[in-house]
Amino acid sequence: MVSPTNANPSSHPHAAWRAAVDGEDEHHHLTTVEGWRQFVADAPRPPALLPTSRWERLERADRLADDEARLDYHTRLGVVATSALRQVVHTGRRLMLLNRHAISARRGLIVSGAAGTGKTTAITQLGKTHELMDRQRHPGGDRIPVVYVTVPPAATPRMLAVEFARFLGLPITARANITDVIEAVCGVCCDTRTALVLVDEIHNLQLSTRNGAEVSDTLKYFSERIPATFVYAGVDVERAGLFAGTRGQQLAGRFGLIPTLAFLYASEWQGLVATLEDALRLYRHRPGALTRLDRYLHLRTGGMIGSLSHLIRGAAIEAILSGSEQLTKHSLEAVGLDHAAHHGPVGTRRQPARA
Amino acid sequence: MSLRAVPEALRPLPIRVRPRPAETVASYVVRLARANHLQPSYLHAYLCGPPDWRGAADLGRLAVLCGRPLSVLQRALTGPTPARQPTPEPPGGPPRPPTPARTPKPRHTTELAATIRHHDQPLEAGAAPAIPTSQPAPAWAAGPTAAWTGRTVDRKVTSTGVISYANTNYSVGRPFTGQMVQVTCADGVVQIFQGGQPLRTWPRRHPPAKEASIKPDRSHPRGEVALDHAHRLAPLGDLATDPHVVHRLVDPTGSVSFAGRYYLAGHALTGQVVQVRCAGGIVQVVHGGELVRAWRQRHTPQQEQRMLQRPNIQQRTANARPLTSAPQHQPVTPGRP
Repeated sequence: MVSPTNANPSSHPHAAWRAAVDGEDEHHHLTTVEGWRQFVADAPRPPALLPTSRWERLERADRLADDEARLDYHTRLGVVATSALRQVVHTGRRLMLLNRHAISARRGLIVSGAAGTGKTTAITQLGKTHELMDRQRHPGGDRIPVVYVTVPPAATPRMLAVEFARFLGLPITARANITDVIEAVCGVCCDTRTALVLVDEIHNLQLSTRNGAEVSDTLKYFSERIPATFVYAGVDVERAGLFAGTRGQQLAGRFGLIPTLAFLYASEWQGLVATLEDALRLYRHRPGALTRLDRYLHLRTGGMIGSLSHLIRGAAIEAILSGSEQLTKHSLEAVGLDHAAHHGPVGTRRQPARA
Repeated sequence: MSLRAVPEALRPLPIRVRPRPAETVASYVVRLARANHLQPSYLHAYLCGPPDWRGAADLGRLAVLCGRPLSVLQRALTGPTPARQPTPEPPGGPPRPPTPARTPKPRHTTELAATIRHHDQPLEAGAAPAIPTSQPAPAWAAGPTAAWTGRTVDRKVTSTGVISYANTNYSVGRPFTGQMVQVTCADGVVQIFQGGQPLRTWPRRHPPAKEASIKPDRSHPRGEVALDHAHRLAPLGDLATDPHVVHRLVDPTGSVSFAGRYYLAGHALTGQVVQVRCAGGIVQVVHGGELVRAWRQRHTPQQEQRMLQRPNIQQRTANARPLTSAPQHQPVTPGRP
């Protein structure tokens, strides 16, 4: 028998990492309402650094606890409010206000861009913002203001409906047909005042195929039944053919598009690196050391915020585990990145210096 | 995906429903299903769990789905439930004082009906076979309308051993099935007699206002006449010398044919030979010298005249014709056309 639990992160940083380690077996996904609520309620505080002299005199057990707390913090490192993220949140909020009294033909939003440009982060931050505001206006746990689903690969209409039902926690067995599932999903969403539906991995939807067309029709049906604003996110949806054909034209006529691009080496990139450096909690890191490496970081990551976050977090974790407690170019070069960062477009390839 | 696949982890339903006090499990499941826009039968099957997905709903699964502790459901819900899990005793702490004993209330409809059935008790037992006694009847408060009607009516005991009086059934007993009894109501007490002998006495359960509409011969449909009334109109003393008496074989439906009409003799007499005659507008069915049924005449005198021309008993059924001799076959002679 499985008993549902909901581990609330404690305010104390040391208790937070213990709760995170203890709850590893109960990993809640964003695609469940429990996981989504945990994500919304999650507000990790950066651990306070002890004075260096005191830190050096810590006992082994205390040093271990302090390292574990900082390791757990650096695995998350928070979300940076980039221009793209602010645009997505701002546009999404305005669309939800415009759709408040709409009977049908509600406007939506599509976030499109290459992998690692922060699409999922942007739409999840939009959902988190809306849910926090909804909780302030309507305290109590009976509402589900945001629904987050991902389009599975080779999706069928029933698979998509099951994704919605799985998020809401509706039991699905082989006996349930698509009509019953859709009815239950729409009924529950209407009763729980769902106002925002986030559909990620929309590039898995191929309108040229029969199943893809039916999935698109199912999404359209959901948008008509559920009085909510639909936000899609996917990898290069324009080139994936999302706006092709009659259904694509309807999407193009009702959905706005916000592209997420790689950062150019400009002031925003430098500010991004500085923000991430300020979030580090290393005892021997010199302030400004990372900002002096911003050009190297841009060449190394190709301007992708996802690769940059992975690079800095990986190097910080390695610095804690090794005891160096600082980030250098040498430690950054030791962190491996994704294939796209290593083999970018011709003329922009970046190869890490061999150790 | 098969029903027998590995079941996924149970999760609470999105919409919670608070159980009502003394609510049955089935009722709560229906309300929970409708609140979550699910089919009640579907949710019930899901609560039954694998591998059969049928039977009684599992309270443990229900506790997870409704998001409430199992102990709360066990305390709040009633009705058919599976074997309840023993609640663990609190580690340390004083035991709770025993709750005062209460009168158990019937939970099921059958138990409630049995309680109502045993509510009535015959105040006096007549010359009737031994019948299990029931619980004492409650004290009836005699109201201003509990007047004695002083009217005795005839009623026929049904196959379940009850008679109907003022649209209310009163038990007489299965041994008296098919027999005529007399019923009267006085001072809030219904008395049942047979041949002057008291059989049963019951407290009045029918409204006094309905007694005014009681028909004396209501239990005689299709023109059946009370036996004593038939006795008075046509005594059986001259049965042996009456030329209008015919013998009839009771058919499988319990009826006899007389002058082109069927008159019910009784299923108990199926296959028996009875004597039937029409006297004073009443068709009497006699068996073994005893009047068993009496019916108002439904045939015409002409039909009776034609019948009396052929008074013999039928061989097989009431409408059987007498057998005739078989035709003789001529032998075929070779060479003869």
